Amino acid sequence: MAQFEAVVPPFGTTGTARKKRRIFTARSIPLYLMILPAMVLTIMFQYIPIPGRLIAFMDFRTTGFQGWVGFEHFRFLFNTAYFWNAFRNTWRFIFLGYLFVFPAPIIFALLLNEIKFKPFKKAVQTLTVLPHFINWVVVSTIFMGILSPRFGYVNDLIRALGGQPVFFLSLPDLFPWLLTFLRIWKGVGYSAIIYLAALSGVDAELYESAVIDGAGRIRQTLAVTLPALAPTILVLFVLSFSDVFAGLFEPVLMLKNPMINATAEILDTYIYEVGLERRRYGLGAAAGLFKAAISMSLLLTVNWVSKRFSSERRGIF
Amino acid sequence: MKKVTLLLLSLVLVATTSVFATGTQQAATAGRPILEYTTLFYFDSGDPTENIDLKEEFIPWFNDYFNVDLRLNYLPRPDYPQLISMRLAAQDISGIIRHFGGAHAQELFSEGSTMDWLPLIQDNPNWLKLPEGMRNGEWMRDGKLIGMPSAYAPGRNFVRHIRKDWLDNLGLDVPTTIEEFYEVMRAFTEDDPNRSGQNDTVGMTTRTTWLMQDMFHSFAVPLNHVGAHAIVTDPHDGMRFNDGMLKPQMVDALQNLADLYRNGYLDPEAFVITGGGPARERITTGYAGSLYDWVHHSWAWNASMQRNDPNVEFVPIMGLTSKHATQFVNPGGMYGVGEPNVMVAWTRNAKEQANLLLDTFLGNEVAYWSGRFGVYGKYWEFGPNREIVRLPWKFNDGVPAYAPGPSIFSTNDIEPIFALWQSGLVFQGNEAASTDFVERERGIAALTAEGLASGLYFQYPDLDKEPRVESYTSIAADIRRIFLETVTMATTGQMTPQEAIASYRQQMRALGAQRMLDEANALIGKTSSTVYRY
Repeated sequence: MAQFEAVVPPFGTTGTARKKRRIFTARSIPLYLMILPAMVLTIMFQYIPIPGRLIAFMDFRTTGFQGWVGFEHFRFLFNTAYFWNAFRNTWRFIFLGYLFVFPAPIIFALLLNEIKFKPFKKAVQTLTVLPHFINWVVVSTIFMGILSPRFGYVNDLIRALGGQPVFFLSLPDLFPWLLTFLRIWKGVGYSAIIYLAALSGVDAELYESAVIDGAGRIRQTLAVTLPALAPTILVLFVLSFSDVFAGLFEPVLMLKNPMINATAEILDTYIYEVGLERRRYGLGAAAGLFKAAISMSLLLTVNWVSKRFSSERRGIF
Repeated sequence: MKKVTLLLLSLVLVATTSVFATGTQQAATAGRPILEYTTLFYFDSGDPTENIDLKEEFIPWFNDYFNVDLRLNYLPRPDYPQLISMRLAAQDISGIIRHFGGAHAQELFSEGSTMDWLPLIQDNPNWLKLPEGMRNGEWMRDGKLIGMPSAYAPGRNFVRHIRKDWLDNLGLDVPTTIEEFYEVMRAFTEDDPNRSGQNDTVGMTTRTTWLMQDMFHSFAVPLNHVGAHAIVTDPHDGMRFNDGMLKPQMVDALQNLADLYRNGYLDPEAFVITGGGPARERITTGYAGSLYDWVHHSWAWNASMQRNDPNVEFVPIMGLTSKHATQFVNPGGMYGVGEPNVMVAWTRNAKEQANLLLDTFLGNEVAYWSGRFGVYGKYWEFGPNREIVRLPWKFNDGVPAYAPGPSIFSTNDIEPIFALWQSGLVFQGNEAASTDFVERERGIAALTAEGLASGLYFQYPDLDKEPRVESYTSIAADIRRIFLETVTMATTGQMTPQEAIASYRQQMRALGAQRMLDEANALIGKTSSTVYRY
């Protein structure tokens, strides 16, 4: 650790406190080399494509640039019912995400933190983390099987109880809830890790003091645990807005079908379909740019709100 | 030591990145003409993920045998057209592409991404000796050849296949009308047709509208060649382009589907099934009693299912009549020219490439068949009467198989197929099976002939019924989506047929469909009968 401290100054030190030194030294070169592939990939896939956003203002076909069309693609999009349907559905999923998916790992971590029998705690943690490593394609296929009206376990149970099989994936009103459940099932264990790590850093003396003051379990959670988690929650909450649309594309693409498109189609799948399947690159790029603009404005707004209203007057930027 | 390890590790990371960035280069075969070919399938070995060893063996053999440098570029199946489009947009692909789907090929040609073949090959003797129907088939558009045909084979029908043994168990006849069919679907679902004592069957299955096109044909609403929409030349309407969704009888067609679905006679997962395979699996596992599919499936399913249950029997229904329709659009009896091989516009030496493809695969009988059956002398050879004998290999359990040997070199009435056509291995096994195959093919031909002779089928001018105007190709994908959603909404009861059609009309109008229909009809000297505005 000592050798790294010599190269990288402690976080937060000012320029005046730093010693003037050479950037490339025998010690730092391996570190730069190690970060190089990640930087190359970031530049290649995050920065170089940025000028491609201009396709949103072009007539762009397989033969390339055909001419500028101004805001024509945006005009078309904003007059398209499918686009607004996808827009509405996206926000529904995001709202459900913040309402249920985001708090789920916090609640789960708090509950897990209360378990004192370590083998059980570890078993639960391992089992809940595992789904994170299963690809959405596989998860979707598994659940399509489980929910199948013909073979699915759920319908087997319904039949065994004397009911009629239900084709869950054909019910538009159910789909948002189903997807929310899947997102929680897949992500709760993995997302809880960071909260559990934060919880492990809470000083045990605080709990002892709370007990002496007469606090019960719930009071301890409210007065000690949650305040200790608050900075982590805040940072993750604000950061989550930087890519508020993320994490929906794969499961929706896999699970949606013509029967539930009314509630399942989201902006990402719309962009995929319009831009790639229908080869209307300009339209797809316009929808993508619109989405990116919303994402960026949300991030800046939340950061501002965080700075303005949080007790520590702290945001990300 | 730590520093050295770190340095080495870093160098390995950088080296790995650079290797991935540059990719690997295919070794060139010096001095040989290069033939760049992009495809989804190649001979009997399926898609790019199947039988890699056979593919690796085939290419060097082929190159040595024919003194070419065949550079195959496989793209995976689900996103094949999208990948082609993206790589074309990035100018990351050249040479010849075997395409699927006429509308997209037409669109690429209209945009200038692909070129006219005719100036490249019009004097080629191998081109000139091809059958007239192959040279001037559906890929000849306004005197321009937008794609080299990939097959020349009798157009195969789709028919409705139905479980005859289930009908016998229930004491029912093969249905001939849409009303009788509905009753049979009810009985297949509710009356225990397989005598299992369980509620384990469903009347019919499908994959979207593709595998139930007859449910529209029977209401005089013809669909396009893949059942994706109803904007086609309509024999019920003077062969003009109209939009079948707006024909009055479409309400009845959708109501029929809604009734089938609501009562559970139509597979509840019909609109979730993503491919023909899963739909057929529902047939071969004995779950569903009926499917509209390629005509040969009755024979194939009988052969495969009778191994487990000798009583299984499928029979084809050529068309279900109704008060609306007694004739059906089926391309039976016509010759199809397969998918187009398109030539990328910026291909260097396009003329050389085009002629190389022709001379290599159509100028030599061994090359022609090896494209389908693999290495000559190892996997197949000619028999005494020029029939093709398939030698033992992994697909046929070590038993030689005999395939019929018609081709453009020895045309007969069975199945001449261009070399780059994939083959189903339906006749692998032994001579008897191959004889069955021949008999089956003749049965299919007879069925089609019967349909045409009896007046049950329309003789369509060609397979491609879709409009050939740019205003169509630019919105074709939107039309397909709107059509499917309209049918889905009405079938599953989320909208009434009338509401669904009204929504369809509104969306199509916004899409500019009226102009498209008018242009398509003007091109063939007709006027539109469909009007999208109220």
